[in-house]
Amino acid sequence: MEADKDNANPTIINPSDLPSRRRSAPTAKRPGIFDALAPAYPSLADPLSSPEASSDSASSSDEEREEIDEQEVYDLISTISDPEHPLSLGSLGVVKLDDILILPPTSPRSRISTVRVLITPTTSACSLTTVIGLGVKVRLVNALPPRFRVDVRIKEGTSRTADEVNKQLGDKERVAAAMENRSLVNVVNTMLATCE
Amino acid sequence: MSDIELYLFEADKNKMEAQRVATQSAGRLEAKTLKLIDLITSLEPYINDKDDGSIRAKSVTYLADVLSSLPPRVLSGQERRLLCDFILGRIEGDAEGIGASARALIALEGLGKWDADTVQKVLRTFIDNTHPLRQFKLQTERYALVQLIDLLLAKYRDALRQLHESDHEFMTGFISYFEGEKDPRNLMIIFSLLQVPMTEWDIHACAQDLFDSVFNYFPITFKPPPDDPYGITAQDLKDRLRDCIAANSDFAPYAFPQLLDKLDSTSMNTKRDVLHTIQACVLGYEAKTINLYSVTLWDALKFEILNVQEEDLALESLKALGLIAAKFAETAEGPLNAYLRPVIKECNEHLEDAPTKQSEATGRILHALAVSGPAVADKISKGVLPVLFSLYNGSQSITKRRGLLDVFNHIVAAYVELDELQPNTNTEALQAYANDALEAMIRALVNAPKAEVSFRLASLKGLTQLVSTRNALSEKEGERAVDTITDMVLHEQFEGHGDIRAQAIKALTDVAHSIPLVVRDRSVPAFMVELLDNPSEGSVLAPVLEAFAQLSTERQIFDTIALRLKNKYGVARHQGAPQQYQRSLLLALLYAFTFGAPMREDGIIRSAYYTEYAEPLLTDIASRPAAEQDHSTLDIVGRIVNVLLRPQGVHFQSTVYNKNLQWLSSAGKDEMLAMALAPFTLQYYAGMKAEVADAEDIVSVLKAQAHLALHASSDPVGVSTVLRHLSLLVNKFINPKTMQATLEASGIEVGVLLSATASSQAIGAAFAVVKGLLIQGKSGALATRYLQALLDILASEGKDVARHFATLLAPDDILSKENHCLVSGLYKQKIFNQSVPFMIDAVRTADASIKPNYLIALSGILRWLPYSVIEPSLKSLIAPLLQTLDLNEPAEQEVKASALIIFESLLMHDPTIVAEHTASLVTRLLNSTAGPANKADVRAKALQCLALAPRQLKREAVVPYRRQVVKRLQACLDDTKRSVRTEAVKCRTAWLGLDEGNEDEE
Repeated sequence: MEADKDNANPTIINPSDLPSRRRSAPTAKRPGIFDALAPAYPSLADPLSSPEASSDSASSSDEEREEIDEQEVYDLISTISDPEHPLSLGSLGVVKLDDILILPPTSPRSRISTVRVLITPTTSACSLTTVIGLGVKVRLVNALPPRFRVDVRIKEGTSRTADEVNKQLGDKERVAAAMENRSLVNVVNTMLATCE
Repeated sequence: MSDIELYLFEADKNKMEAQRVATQSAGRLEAKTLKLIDLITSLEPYINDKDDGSIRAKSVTYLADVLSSLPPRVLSGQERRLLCDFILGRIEGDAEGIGASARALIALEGLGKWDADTVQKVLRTFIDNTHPLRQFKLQTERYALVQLIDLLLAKYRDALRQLHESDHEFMTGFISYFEGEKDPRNLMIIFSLLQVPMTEWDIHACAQDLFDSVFNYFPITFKPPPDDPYGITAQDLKDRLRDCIAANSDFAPYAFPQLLDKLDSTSMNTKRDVLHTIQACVLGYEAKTINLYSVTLWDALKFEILNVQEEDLALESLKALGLIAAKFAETAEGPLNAYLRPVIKECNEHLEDAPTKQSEATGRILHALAVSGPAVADKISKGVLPVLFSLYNGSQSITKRRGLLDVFNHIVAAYVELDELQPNTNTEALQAYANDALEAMIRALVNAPKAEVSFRLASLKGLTQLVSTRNALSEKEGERAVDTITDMVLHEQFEGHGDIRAQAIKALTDVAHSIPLVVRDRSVPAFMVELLDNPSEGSVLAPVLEAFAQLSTERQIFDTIALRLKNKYGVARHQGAPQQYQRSLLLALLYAFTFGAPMREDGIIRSAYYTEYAEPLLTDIASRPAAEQDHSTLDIVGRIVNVLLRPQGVHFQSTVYNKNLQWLSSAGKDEMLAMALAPFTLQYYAGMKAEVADAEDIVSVLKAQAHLALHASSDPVGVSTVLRHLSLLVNKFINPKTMQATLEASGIEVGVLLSATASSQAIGAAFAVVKGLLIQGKSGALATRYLQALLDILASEGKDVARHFATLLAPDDILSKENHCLVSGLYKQKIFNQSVPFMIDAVRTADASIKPNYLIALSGILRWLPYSVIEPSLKSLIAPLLQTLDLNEPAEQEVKASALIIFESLLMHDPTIVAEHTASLVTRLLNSTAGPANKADVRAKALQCLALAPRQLKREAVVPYRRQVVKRLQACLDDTKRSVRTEAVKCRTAWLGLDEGNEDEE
């Protein structure tokens, strides 16, 4: 029953080795264990200084901008499920942090940035590469603000059908047409169902 | 009319009455006014009625009813035998009323035990004359029959076994007798009665028929009707059927092939049943039988683990594999070897390309097997570890090595579990490789690149487990493990690389549980070296100190940790170390006593700790003048005193109280000193039981605190502490009966405080007093009056007063039961009922200029209430809550956030209530997502609420807003805050999802 899968026994990346913002965040910033020993509640004298308010003012950078970066794009797509395995694209190494690139606007007058994602199929003959690419593309188009252009491609030298697939994914009309196909839409939706 | 005539007359019309007639006949038999012979004779014309079967049946029913109502000893043995023969004789010629005949026999048996002949005759008569059971259409009739047979099998085992042994044909008829039964009530009994022959008789010759007769029902797909009065579930039937299948080893040749065949089913429920049944069979059948099928079972079960379809199926399969091993571990070695040989071979093959899905599964398989017994663990280790370590040493790939270590850890984990069950497990096979493993893991932790998180985590876990496995490591090796982990905790403080430091601390406490002495002698000194006596101002020792404090969770080294912390504090203080450092040391001590494992006596923390740790700190405070008191140090010392003092008994507390009474009361008279000591005195009084303190002392303390609250400087933290102290005194110490008088005497009677032009201090004090009273619940009328007074001033005062309402219900770690405060069980409901309806009304009628006051106060109350309290009033709350979302001043962000939290629960639990307000809610939520007017947490919460709408509300109610929402959310996707963007993505996905339904309709 496993025979019909293109790759029945893929290598799996351990969850703690997957790139995450928390993993690379400096430990010093996290609250120490002693902080919980003296909890602060809104005090009787000054009800405005409630914990939420004070913690907000502590990170006074409330309105300081956190830019959309590669890690954020990775977090959006790494939780997509593989159509063959009940595993995420991140843990299968289909999407990698290093293969995500955000290109700033090409001219100072333009607002349009580009997100480029390179996909690595689990085997070079993986027949579902197009579907995976489509899933990634749909997810990013829905989840990124319109000032981003989404460019999903197959990583060079990882798939025998790369050129063909790249052509399909790059073609707006063909992507739109694909999303009219009911069974394809269902597959993509199942893949995206595991996204938070 | 005779009784039988009466009975027949009533039988169809009034069951109760007919029953009464039968009971009456029984009574007459007992009183000897009716002879048995006359009763039988009176039956004659009816029980033999040639034309009407139903009259014959009812006559038998009458007889059965009479016999059931008879007390013992009314009928003689001979009479009972005659009756028995009479009934059996009838059955041979006439099957009408067969259920009643069975009931009559059950009643007769109840009146006196039968001999073997009778038993055999009864069963034979039924099997010969009423075969097959399914010919009787009424469930109740069949039910009586199976009950009778069940009774016979339960009580007369020997007689019936003789019947089987003397007549080889009997069993065939017996088995096929029940064929085709479908009613769950009957099946429950049949499955149960069949177990007698299955387990006790020699049924080798008819094993297949017997097996098939029950396996025909597998898998059970029964669904009880919606209001089933009998309460039989599918699970009940499954359990009994499973017991049948597992009852006799002779079933194995039929059971295993068919079960394994059904394991290929596409239904998960069937597979689940199969796995449970296989487990039962492994337990039930003899080892020599299982031996014939062990490899076949392995070949089938492994697929469920190597390619997991459903996690629970994998777990059940693992359990089954373990049970097989356990079966052999008890007995001979040959079968165990035969079973494990192919397992080990295949597992070793999977190790070669680790880490893969299958190598992960391998670890689970080996663990499940090894944990089933020391002998199994031994063989697994001998079979797998050589290959594992030769692969490990032969590879340079860190990922591969990590995969192999994971598998190794699974095996060691099995040893740890075995050792917990039966200490002194033989760990010889593991010992042979323990040193290899130790070296590999230490190398990984010390030398591997820090970015290889999973590899190092696996090594850390392995190290901890090796230490926990008794005898696996030598003393020297244990020390090396402890040194390595200690070093990680102390020196890996740089940024990034996951949570490995936290894991290392956890590992060190785990290790401390297994080898406390080594940790005490090696880790503790290493920590002490790092913790300088007098560090320079900027040095960062907090992480070391935090780690050290966490070691106190291990009871065996608690005293060492606490003592070292205390001594270190003494030295640091003596040498004038930075205040921040001294405070951290005290915090570490507080942490140890709060979350650590101090020694206890009768469940209470030992009072000696108070004497050794708290008292010196207290003496120190008492000796210093106001100028030298440090607010936050006092707070921590207060908390240490509190945590050590509050569980102690009255006697101990009284001694402490009297000892400190003098300096505390003299300090209380000095306004400066009293204010400075406030954080300490608050915690100190919080720890005392009410009966320890003298009433007059307390009144003077209250007066002093009241004076401070109303007149002292404007330092907000200090004032807040004093106000909390007021709440505490009012709640715990003041006699409720004289409450108002005491408050008046102290100048804090609420009516007076609020009169005329109340200062902000007076208002603060008023809220503090009311808070103490409301939580206490003993002075109901007074509290109600005061609360109303607070509500009344909302109409005239500014928003500041309104904001004070949030303090009334805010959680407070001082006013708790642990601190011996009076906490009424219903105070939240009470406050809700006394304030919320009033404010809802006020919002409706109030002038636009003061309306925000009520909205703010209302939200201040609501934000601390559990949903269940708010629930009954939700309908009337929606309007004010929606208006709250319109408040747009920056100061009102809190209020908005709490309103959003309520909307979130509302959408989760009672979406119908909010349905009619969909339009206004969606608009306001969308408005609340816009920055920078709204803070990040408000924006995020608004998006969370909005995401619930398409899921919780009816489709047609939300679809009209889809286009608008999806469009406006595009802006949120570009929010400045990452956390908000994440919520925006989720929310937008939820609304985009509405689209799919649309297409389906087209």
